[in-house]
Amino acid sequence: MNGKVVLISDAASASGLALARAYAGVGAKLALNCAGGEAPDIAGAAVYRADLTKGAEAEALAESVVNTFGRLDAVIHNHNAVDHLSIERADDGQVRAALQYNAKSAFLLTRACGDYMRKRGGGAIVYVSSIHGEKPTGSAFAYSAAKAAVAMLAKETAIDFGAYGVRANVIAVGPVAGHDGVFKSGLSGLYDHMEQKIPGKRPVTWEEAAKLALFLTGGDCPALNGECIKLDGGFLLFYGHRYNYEEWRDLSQEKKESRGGLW
Amino acid sequence: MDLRGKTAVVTGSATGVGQGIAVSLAGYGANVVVTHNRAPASRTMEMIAEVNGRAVDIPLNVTSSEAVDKLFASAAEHFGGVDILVNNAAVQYNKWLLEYTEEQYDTIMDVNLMGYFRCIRAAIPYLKKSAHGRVINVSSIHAKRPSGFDPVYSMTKSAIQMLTYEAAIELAAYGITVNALTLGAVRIESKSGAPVFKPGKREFRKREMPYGNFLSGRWGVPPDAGYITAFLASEESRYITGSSIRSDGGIMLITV
Repeated sequence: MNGKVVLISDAASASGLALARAYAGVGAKLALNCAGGEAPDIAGAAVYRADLTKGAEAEALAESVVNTFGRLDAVIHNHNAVDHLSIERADDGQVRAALQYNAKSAFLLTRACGDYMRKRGGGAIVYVSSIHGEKPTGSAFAYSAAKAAVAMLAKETAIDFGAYGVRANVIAVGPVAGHDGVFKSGLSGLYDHMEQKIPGKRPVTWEEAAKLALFLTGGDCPALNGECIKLDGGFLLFYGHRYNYEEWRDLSQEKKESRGGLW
Repeated sequence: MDLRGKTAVVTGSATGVGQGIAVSLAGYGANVVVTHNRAPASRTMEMIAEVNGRAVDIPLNVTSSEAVDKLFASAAEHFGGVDILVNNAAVQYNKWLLEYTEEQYDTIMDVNLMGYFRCIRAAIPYLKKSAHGRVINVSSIHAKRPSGFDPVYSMTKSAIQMLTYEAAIELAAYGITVNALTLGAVRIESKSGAPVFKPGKREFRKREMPYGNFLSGRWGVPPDAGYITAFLASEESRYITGSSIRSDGGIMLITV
């Protein structure tokens, strides 16, 4: 990615910071967009303030980046805002806002930048998204619906722009530290004992997500297109196992029979 | 399956899949509220009368929360309650990603996704009172795989899948089940007899799909969706929630 131009959305977020550092670390030229908040302090990076829920601003952003840098090689959609909403009590405005921030921004960014990359003959789009495009939250229905839409957007983009050398992939990021609070639900036990449910017993980091983004936007995976890669440390595979093999082996027969190895 | 004594609201049931569902539910004995926006529902009402069903048709634009709320109040007033909601009203633009305008994006999201949400939200007070509240969201195989003919349509269907799961979790406490029906290619005739659905613009999509492309040997027809919806609306489906049933004649396994 050395010398390549990368546009990162919502650069003011924790994930945006990790992404910006990772790309700066390999010599990429950075275009950082954040409608609000502080952009990461990266030498040589250009900062933009486009509201990506508005089509005209997304178009203007793509144009500005190309005018500034003369090219655009990769786009990272990185909008993730979790609003706790109940279907029964949410009003239209809350749901619309959540869908626009998390999904419409992806569509508008894809259309604006994808068209440029298509005409230029290549590029890569990565959506830093969530396991909740696949797994319901029990707490933030508009967020998960939006993330499911983004996963589909990547597939549609892959078949639409793939013929022009543009690839689009999703990173479905799993539990990051604090997500058991972010997705706290009175209706779903998904995040109870969060870290214990991850085979490696530790959350995923944004730095790991950034490394995967580097791989997906780089030249080492030309055949990876329209894919959604789950980056959750195995969290969603959990099915009630409490013990690792050695702990189970050393349990008394009585305990084995009474506890069954399940939570 | 016996739906006698139950009342179902079927959105977008003037034509097509919604019509097939409304007629099936009426055939199994449900009182049906037929909602329609652009097309008149007279043919659906005739078909329901032919199976000796009971129905009322009410105009509804699902992009208005106020109208949706009123619809459920009218339905309950007419039949004494609402037990079954079938979310079906949807639009489809058949545009390329680059052709989509922002307004079209907003509209399809507002109808296909927000419309389903609005109807579920408005139905909740009535479904809570029902002994067997049911929500069935009509979706598409394009919830799982891209269409190539309408990227935002697929996005809405994918999102509906997740809305189905989330609603199943949230409404379980009230004994309400929420499921999705993912349909494949359905043969729907317009007034002129031509298919309403225009296949995409790519050369290989222009040809008629031969019967051989469906394991079931034929295109889907609206009653196929009707039978499954009747089952999902029945008490017998009580242990199915947050699920989706694919009814596509097997096309997804061999053709798309």
